[in-house]
Amino acid sequence: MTEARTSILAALRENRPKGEADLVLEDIAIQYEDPFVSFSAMMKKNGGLVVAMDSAYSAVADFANRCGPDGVLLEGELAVAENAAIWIPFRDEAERARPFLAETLAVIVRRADIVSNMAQAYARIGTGELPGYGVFMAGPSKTADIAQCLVIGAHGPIEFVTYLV
Amino acid sequence: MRVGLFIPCYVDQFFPSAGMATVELLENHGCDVAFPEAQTCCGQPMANAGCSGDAAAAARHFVDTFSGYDYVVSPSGSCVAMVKHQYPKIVGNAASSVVSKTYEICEFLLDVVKVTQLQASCSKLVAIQMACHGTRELRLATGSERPALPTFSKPRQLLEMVDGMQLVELQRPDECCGFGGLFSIDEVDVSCAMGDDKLSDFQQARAELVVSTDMSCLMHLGGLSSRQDRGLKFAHIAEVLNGDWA
Amino acid sequence: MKHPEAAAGFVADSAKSSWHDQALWGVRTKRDAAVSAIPEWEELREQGARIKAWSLAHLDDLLVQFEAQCQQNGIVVHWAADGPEHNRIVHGILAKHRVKKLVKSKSMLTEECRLNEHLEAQGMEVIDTDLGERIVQLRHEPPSHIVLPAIHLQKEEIAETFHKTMGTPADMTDETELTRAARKDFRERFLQAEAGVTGVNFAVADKGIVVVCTNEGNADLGAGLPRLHIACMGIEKIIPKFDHLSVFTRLLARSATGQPITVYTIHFHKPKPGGEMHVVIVDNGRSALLGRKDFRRSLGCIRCGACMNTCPIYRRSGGHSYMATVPGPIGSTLAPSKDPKTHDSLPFASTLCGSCTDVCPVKIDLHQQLLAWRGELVKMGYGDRKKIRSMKLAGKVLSSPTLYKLAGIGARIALRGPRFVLPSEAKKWLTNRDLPPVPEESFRARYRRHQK
Repeated sequence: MTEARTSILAALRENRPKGEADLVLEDIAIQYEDPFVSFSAMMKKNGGLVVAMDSAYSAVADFANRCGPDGVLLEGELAVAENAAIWIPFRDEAERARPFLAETLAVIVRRADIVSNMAQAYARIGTGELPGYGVFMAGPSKTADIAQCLVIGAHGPIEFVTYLV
Repeated sequence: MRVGLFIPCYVDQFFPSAGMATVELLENHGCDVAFPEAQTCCGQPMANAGCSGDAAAAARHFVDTFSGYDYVVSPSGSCVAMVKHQYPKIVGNAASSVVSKTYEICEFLLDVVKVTQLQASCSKLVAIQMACHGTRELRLATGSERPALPTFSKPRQLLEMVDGMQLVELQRPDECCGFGGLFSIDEVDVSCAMGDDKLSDFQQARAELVVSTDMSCLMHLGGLSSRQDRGLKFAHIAEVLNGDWA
Repeated sequence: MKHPEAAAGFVADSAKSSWHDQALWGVRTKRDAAVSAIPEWEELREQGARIKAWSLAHLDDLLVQFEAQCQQNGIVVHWAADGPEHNRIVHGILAKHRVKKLVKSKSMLTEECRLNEHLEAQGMEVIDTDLGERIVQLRHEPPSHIVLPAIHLQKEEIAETFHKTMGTPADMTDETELTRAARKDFRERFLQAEAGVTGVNFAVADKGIVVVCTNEGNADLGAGLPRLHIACMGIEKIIPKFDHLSVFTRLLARSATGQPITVYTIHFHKPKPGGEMHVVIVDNGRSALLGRKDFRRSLGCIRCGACMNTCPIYRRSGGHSYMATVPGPIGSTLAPSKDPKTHDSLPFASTLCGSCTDVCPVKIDLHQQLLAWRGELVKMGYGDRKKIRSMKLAGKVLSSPTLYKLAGIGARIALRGPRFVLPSEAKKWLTNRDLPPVPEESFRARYRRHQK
């Protein structure tokens, strides 16, 4: 127990706002009729590529053709229609930085795993065992730090391919 | 209904026709208008300068002067916002006798008098200078910051009742003009830069006449325009809702 | 120097000021477009505001819960009462691991604590890895915006900086080429770094999770490559539940840049195998701010920068004119709580137009706070004394109908007369603006005739 910890917590107790009502949140998040269509449109907007495939096997084959040795292929657990984010849990812990070093990053997600919004996404992730490290990825890396001009490919991947199977 | 008319101090001195247009508009729509001579100022300049103690004296005087009327109406969104939003903080419960019955002229005409037609005409291209406190405190219109909400604009709704009205569309319809009371003096450079941009927006939209719910914005914009000979005309919205602009 | 003078300097270059205004208005426009795609946006803001208010009312419990969860996951938690203590803690961890080179992703907290200066003084090399932060680091400038640190610079200025520091061709001004050059330069540095420091966007109490949001992928590399990761957070970054992340990830990027979500939303739950992860929790004035009823809601800020992008004063005066770690409307309410004397002009650097309040994703009553600060500062004896005296006089005049009428007549006469008799305020008005022509009669006089 450090001195700072004790003094901070004491000050917070002292200055704590009173009478805050219980926190109950209603489900308000947008639902899409066809999450697949919304996801694809949004991923395109985010600068990523969407490829529909009949099976994971054909996705792997396409990946081998499309990307050089610098490419990395990952598996996404679920995808979100409202923003084209894909949840990628890292169960193999040593791999944390590898996808970010790739020039091309490809992710396979099942069409059935597309949910409408982030509320549904977090609800689903929260029911399982959380990985030591997990990332929502929503396209290739980008920056507009030079005079607000958008550049695709900052530190992370320059190309982002989503295989929907 | 007995309507107590509140005329802001600078309108009283510099823009009497805006005040008179308000009187006539209200009377033409059946209101029993009274202008209590004892009125002074809402106290906003002091409150905005951080001197709320000094504003409190003006606020109490306002409450004393107007609490006997059915409604208090003013041709200034900024003063009305001061009464409705700041008085409860500055003078507490004493404000309750005026807060709920004080209205800006446009909202009063639409929401209380329920005006559906006007005797007015205009043949100029008109731009609306949406005053900030009217938009974001009184919610006279949907602010551009809240595009997920249904769109409405009370000043526009009224102006569209004017015969021949042609409204132009601005690139930034509710960007602040840069007046801001003492801001216009304290931060004179930024204030004038904001005003200049606003004037350019009016002119790219080919506006000839700029109307607003607040003369304070127009005093600033008009002052810049006149110094630069931009050739724009400025009028309080009441003057356009109650007149013939050829 | 106070804000009006600093702002005047930026506005004087009207071409650049106008470019700056347009660039940020562009960001605001993108934000509007993203918001209109979410019909429940206003309710979502309300939820964000409620979660933050609830969190602030339970900060002590939530921090203790967060700490316990982190420890259970193998994350080491430190507490720092102020900036210097934070810097000592971070330096201590780095020194223990004999770190000489580290990479750091964006963190306004470390800016606030001046961590870089502290570590550099001890002989460590700190590389800011957010491209915008790297640009200002190379120029030895502070960031001018919390999300777009180099927004005060145009392409040519950045090209010149890269030419001088990275040896890119002098005429290379294309944004993609410049970004690629930086990417190459950065890669080496990421691979050499022995530690990564990141900020924290959200700290989840019930799971002990730290969330960091980036577009560039720099935090991911910075935390993922070296063995050691230190995450620095203010006490107010805490949110109660994992599910609440959905509300904030929906609000943050849309408000910040108009993206539906940041490209990367990283969740750190455990250190990587063989690695170490530390979290430093910092107060530095926040617990005191919690005790100030009129201002505590500013602690809910999620640092999206939307209030800067929408502020017509910020857009024209530039972030550096605020001379505070966080500029713009939110900075103008945060800064005086720390140092009212230095920052006494900031709450006045606003027309109180209220646009900041309406874009704020967690509904902080920003313009009301700026107004409240004006009152506090005057009470504390700061601000322009001369103006305050004239307000006292005005207060007397405006509560007396007789004095008021006399003052009105006086003003009308004075404005008809020669300019040298005018008070300095009127002269300042008249530098760029005319006054309206003084009418023959006041409203009162006309109204009296009208009644007859």
